[in-house]
Amino acid sequence: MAEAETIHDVIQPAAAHAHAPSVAAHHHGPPTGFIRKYIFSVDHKVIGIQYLLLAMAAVLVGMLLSVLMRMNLTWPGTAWPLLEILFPIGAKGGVMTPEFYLSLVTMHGTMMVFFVLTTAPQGGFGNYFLPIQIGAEDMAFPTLNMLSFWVTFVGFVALIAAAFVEGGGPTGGWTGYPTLSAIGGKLNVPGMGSAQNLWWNGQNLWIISIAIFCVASLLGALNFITTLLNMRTRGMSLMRMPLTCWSWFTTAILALLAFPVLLAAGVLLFLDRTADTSFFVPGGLSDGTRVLTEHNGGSPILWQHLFWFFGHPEVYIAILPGMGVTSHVLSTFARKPVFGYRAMVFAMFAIGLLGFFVWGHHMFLSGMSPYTGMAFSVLTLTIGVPSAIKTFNWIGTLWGGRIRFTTPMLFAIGFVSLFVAGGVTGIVLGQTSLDLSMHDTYFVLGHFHLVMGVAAIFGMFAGTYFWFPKMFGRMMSERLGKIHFWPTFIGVYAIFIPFHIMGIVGMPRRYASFEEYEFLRVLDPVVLFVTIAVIITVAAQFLFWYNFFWSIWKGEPAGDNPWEATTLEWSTSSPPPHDNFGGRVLTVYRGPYEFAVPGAPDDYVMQTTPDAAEENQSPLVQGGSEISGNGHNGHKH
Amino acid sequence: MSTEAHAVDQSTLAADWGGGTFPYHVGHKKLGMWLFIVSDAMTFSALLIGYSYVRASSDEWPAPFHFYPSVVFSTVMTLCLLASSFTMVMAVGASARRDKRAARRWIMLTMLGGLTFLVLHLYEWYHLIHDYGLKPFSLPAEWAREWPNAPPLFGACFFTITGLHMFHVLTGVIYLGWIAFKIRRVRHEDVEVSGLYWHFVDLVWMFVFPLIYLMSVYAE
Amino acid sequence: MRPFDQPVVEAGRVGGELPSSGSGGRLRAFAPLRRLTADTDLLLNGLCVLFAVGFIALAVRSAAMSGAFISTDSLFMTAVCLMLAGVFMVSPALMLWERGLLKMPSFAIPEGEALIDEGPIHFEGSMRLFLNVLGGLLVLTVIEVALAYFQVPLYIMLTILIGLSLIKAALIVAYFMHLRFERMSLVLTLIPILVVCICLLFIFFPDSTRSLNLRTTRAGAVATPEAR
Repeated sequence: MAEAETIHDVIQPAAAHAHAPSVAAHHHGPPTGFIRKYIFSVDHKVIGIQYLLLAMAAVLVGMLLSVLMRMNLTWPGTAWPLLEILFPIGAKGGVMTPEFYLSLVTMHGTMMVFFVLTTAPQGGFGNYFLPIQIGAEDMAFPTLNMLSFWVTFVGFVALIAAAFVEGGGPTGGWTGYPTLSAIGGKLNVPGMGSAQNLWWNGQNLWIISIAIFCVASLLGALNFITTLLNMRTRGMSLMRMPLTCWSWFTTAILALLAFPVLLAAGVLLFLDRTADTSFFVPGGLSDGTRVLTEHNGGSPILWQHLFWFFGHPEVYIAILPGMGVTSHVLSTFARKPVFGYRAMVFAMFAIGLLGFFVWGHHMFLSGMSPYTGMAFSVLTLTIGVPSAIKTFNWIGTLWGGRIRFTTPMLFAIGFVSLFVAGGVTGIVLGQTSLDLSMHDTYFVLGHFHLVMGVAAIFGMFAGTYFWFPKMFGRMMSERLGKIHFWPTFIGVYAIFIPFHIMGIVGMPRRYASFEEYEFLRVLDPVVLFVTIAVIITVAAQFLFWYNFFWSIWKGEPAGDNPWEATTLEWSTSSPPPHDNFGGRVLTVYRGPYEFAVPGAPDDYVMQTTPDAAEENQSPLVQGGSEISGNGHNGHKH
Repeated sequence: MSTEAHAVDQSTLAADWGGGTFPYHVGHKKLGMWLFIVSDAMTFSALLIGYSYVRASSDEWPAPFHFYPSVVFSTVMTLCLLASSFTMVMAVGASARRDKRAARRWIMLTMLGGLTFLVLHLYEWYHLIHDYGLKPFSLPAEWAREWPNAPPLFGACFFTITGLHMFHVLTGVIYLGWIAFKIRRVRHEDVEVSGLYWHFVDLVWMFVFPLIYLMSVYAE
Repeated sequence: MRPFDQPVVEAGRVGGELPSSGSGGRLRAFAPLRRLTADTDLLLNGLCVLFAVGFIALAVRSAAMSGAFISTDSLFMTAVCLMLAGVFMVSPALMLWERGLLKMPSFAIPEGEALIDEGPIHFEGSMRLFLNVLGGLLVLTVIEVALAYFQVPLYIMLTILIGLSLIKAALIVAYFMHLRFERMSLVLTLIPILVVCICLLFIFFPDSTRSLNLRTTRAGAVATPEAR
């Protein structure tokens, strides 16, 4: 134990930490066995990669599901022999039933939103790089971190299981709207799932999966916030943090406050399904021949409120880390400081804050009071202001830069493009009167797929190409990366721009087929075009996977700082040692994006590079050590 | 004078937030527990709001709890929790004085308060389910006669909210038991953090008790 | 690991100001009365005894006054009161045990186990303060219960109850959870976001009352297939 104390003193950046009650939690030496090292590891870097791999598995499933959906929409009623083997009930004879299509929609949405867009940017990159970028040796609660991941994994398994159970897959959509989600498959209603009332049906498992995911996410979020606030190294003041850290911080706050609401809603919905309560089941519900619920309680609108109270912040949980990565990458490869760093930070917080005020815009058609709708509409349009600030600052960052068009840079620019393209339709949908006709059409699908789906994925791609050398010590192939970029970038536009047109024509979302709608016949070529675009774009993603796994072992070795970037992760080896900095305690002397500093020897200055003038005064650092000498209990006023 | 004070303030700010120190002068576990509490408070708020929502949207809502014995009984439960909160503060105080034995004793008293609460609560559940016939999905026939327009949601709300709270109490008792068991090896911060959780459980009850019980008192 | 540098204070000494040796516990029972009354432990335990006696009296009353003793209500109240009396006796019993007046199986901490050095510990507040807070909470609870007893109209009651509960919550957070003694920055971090988010949840209510007003069929008049 005495030995542990000494190590402890050496690796702690400040004396304050020596008195920190819980810092002892970090005194894990490098693990040795395979299981402790790679499976149940408490190292944030391993956990980050685990999250990334989980997200990759989920995105593969989600993508294949979308291909299945497109197949059914384009060639309805066709028998696909392979499908029958996988889903003997849902696709009897290989022909997809409408219920099966609905469960595809649900699984695709849930998989993508929860297990890709939430886990990869936050759980994956955030876990790996947040501690390194603030100069900490691990997260604040390493064991809790491991637990978060494995709980998420259990949620993932539950969701996969939901597709295959005998009771039929979940049909409620990723938003799980009652009454379908509350009584689907339960009351023996035709068209509402399977005939038997099986406890292990997909909808129940879906709720369980989501509830588990909520717990994991909020535990992860509190870990992130604690790490970021308490574990910054000397000199790493808040305004010297990279924008990625800011984005993970904002995201964590949103997750901390939004997921518990979904958890509560999930508990209520689960009780509706299993204990026959009727929180979300309205009275007098009828299937046309008989009254199913003979009481007058319960409100599906309550679910919509609770869900979207979570759901809208969730959208920002998905996109904000992408914004952070984009800012980071744009600045690095434009060799310019981020234009308006402070404005970027405040815009990010403004988006996060406003994200809590606007959930009603998903519910304009729930029959809400026009006054409430008006308020939500105005607040929704207000989000355009900080979003525009960010966009202008990205463009400002690029303006006049000596741009290096590397693959991460291409994806970051792609992010800006997609964010703008998807964002402007948000302005359309944010207005009550326009939304009335656009609601639940393909227009909405086009909007949110561009702005939060594909844009966030582009943020992830940028992050992957950018940080891959740090994570694995080898470069990803630039040539393959560029070949990957162009079909992806063109492909997503080819898929989602037609969605807007289909929506304006009036194609409703979530319908299994449009054969019976004469007025939609005109769209048949467009539907076919989109399907072909989907198949090509999906095929292009396998290039990425190939590049990823090939580069792990065969890539060109990367140095410590292949991109000539400035932040702390580039001042350690690639990949970083177990405690991130090999026992060194870094001191930060400057902001995160000091490119093209006049008078500097290189065109970039690392955050850890001392500067003669600054070293002399440096009130910040001295103040820091002074405080720390007194421990964390002093300084009362 | 004022500029000087301002300058001092600025430097403290810089020192606190400049990195290498704990900005709130609070360790990881305590900050983490506070954040968890914020999060959990949102869960309970959502549930209580959901309950209020369905109640406000109903034509009628049962008010079945007679002042005696139901409300008196739940008041006693409240007193148990309040008393256990007090003993928990004393445990933290004892721990701060490094008096681990006293800390353990106070924690055990706290657990006792919590267990009493649990037992009373379970008894109440048993009573409501078996003697009255309240179910999560339906009202007892007697209540349904008295409040014919009421939805069957009273039991659902009651059992969900108190059930989740009970789960928190149970978790708290187990947590405290673990702390008491390891009292020699845990740090003061661990005791303090377990105390925070316990007080939060108490705090939630301060809203559950009036909203669920007192708002449902039978009009004699 | 350095040994614990302060003498371990005798278990049960809440005041903490009296040093004691390991075996001095029994002698203290015969110490002058004044010294004992100064001890806040005794005050609290006295209160506990009072509560216990009160509950026994309640149990007796409940058993005696109910017409049929073997009824759920009567059994329920009697059993509960007796149990509560037992609960409140635990602390005094523990005190007696510590002072050697009561023999009980020991759960003492094994000697010689190393303690952790954790640097300076910060704790504010005295027993008196916490007793005052507890008293305040009890008084507020009693007021709340009294509102229910006097059958105050529902909306007035709701308003007052929420107000009182907020005060109670504030008391718990400020004193029991020690937030009042933390830095202001922590308070400003935790409380506003929570308050804002909870306030936002109140936006649900217009929809709630709207669905009440829009409902055309009252329950009981729900259309059944036969009725149609």
